[in-house]
Amino acid sequence: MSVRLLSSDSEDFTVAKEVAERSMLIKNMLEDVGDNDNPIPLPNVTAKILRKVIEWCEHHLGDPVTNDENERRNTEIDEWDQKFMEVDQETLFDIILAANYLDIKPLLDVGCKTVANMIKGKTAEEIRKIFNIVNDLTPEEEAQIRKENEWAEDR
Amino acid sequence: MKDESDMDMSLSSLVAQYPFLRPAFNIKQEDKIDLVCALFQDLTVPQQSKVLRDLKDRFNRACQCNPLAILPRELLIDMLSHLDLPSVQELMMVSRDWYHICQDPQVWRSMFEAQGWLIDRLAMDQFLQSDEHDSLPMQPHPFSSSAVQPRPIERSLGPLVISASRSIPRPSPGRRPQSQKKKRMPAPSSSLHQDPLLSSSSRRIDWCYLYQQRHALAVAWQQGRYRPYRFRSDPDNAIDQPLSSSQAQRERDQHNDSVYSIVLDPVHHLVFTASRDHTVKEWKFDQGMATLQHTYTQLHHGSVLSLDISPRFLATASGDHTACLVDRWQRQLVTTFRGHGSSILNVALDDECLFTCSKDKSIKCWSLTTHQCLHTLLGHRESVNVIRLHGDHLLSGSGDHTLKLWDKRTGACLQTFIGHERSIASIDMIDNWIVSGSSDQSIIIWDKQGHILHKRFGHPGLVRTLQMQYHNNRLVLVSADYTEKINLWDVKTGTLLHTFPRYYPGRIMNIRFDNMKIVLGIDTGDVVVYDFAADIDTRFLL
Repeated sequence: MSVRLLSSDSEDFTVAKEVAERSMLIKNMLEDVGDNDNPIPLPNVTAKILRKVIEWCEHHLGDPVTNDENERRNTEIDEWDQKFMEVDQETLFDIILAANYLDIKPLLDVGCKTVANMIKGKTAEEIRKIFNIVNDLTPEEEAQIRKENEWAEDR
Repeated sequence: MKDESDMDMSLSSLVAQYPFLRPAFNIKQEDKIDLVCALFQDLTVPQQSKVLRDLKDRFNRACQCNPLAILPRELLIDMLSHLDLPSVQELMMVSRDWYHICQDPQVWRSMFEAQGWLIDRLAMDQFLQSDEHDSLPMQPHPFSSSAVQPRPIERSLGPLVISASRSIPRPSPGRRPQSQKKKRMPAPSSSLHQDPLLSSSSRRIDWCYLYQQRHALAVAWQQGRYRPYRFRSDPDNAIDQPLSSSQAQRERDQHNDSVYSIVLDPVHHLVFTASRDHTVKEWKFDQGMATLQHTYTQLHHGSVLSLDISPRFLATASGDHTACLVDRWQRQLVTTFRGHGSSILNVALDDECLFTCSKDKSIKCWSLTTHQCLHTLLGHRESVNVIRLHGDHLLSGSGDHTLKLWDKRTGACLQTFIGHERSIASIDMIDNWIVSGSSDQSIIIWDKQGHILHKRFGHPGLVRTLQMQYHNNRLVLVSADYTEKINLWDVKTGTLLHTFPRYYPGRIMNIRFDNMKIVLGIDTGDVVVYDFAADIDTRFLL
């Protein structure tokens, strides 16, 4: 059984029902409308991103559902997902937003972990470079924050 | 991306055409601004308009890389919850917006929980439900009054207020007795001075503050920083801390013979001690204060050799061949178990049964409801010195040099552990980890299948007492011999982490620890505490 999905830029995707149901949003919609040939409109997701999301859902079709907090917090990302997330930042954020909108928790986690890993172990200056952030802290404020954070150096 | 490469193309052809432009890229950043403005001035108005549009597009694209500009707050928090402390602190230095979002309590809560740290739910719920607004003065977030004002994350960047008055005096925390304040040292950083618990006008937990306190506790263990003192005060001893108001009171309170057994109940801030003086004492231990709550004098007419507690009961074992079951909260004797032919050396409680082991070489399992003896576990060839429960299993250590693992419900012996050369004095068991201390002076760390993982000689004599526990996600062991050493070990690697010095005379009979303290029972009747939380606000910590 398959389901039709319509991206915001009106591209029509046909995917297996169990793939589409990785999205809780779509799963709930399907339960509400029952069997139906009409495509499900996804006004927040472009074709480019939807294609990526479907690719991810197909690969992770058989994954067991984990509710273990520790498992979730584990920042290890498996190799396939790492490769999958090797995209430009704009696409990465769009995937995260789409995963959030479509309610695909594990994909959202992978996305968030990917961003977290971009930050981990970097200096403030390196983080600014990565994300194109302008430092708007005055030297006094920087000194102040440094002072506030002093407690952690005591290790 | 396409525009970017176009731009680079046009730039390189431009430089090819006018080579003298190349050094212009090496001038100072501030001078570049002047140069750009000068060039801009030189354009016609329609050209200026086009440049402005182009630049705006480029600028917007650049901004779009900032997760803060793209992701909604809850996703940012979600992302931040995957980070560790150094990363979050580095992020705070990135920009104002990042600084503010890093203050979110959820971020700190996630980091707190990721460490495997525990909170005192009971105390926290009580605090959250209480509305004694007067006794706990409203205080802003510890950071907010200090320097950088937290405010909702908005796209507009307002100025940050640097307040001149950083030293807002710490209000007296009303719930604590005055006497305790003396003991508490000033917190190390001024931002810790302002008080804890109220992050805003309504009651909620300031997880950042809580994280700092718990962090300080972890550091204290790591660096072996603690304050030693006794439940009894000795004016001749300089490092002693006065623990209750009256010296005479303390003299009366203490045991007047060997403290054989200690049990800690960190959830209710209680310590139970059993002594050769035939009594059992219950102490309230809170924020470094020990006050005697109750003395049981009528349970036994012999030494009280061992203690255990469950949520409901207190169990005691004695040289008078009996064990007692006491309702902890009513402080009433429920029943006395008779049946062993000699001294009962150790007890262990679970929800349904009391287990006792004796010099008579047997272990008995007693029902807590019918008070009947359900099983007698036979197999050891000498006195059974010590027993421990974990999950479905009972572990025993004996004078016959072995340990035995039993199914606690059926009484079947599952495994015998052979490896020590002399009597077993102390054992413990958590998950698949078993540890034993012997008069052969060694400690053995085993798995449940009976394999020896580590054998360590860290004590110059009988390893009298030990306990194992998870500590900051790490399984650690504290062990002691009578007179020399108190050792802290990493169980999984068998590494000695720390050796604590002795501060008080007498032989160590028993040792217990939790996240805040190590407690020693001494044969002088003293109870000695190594308090790692001495300068830390532990109200919500376990």
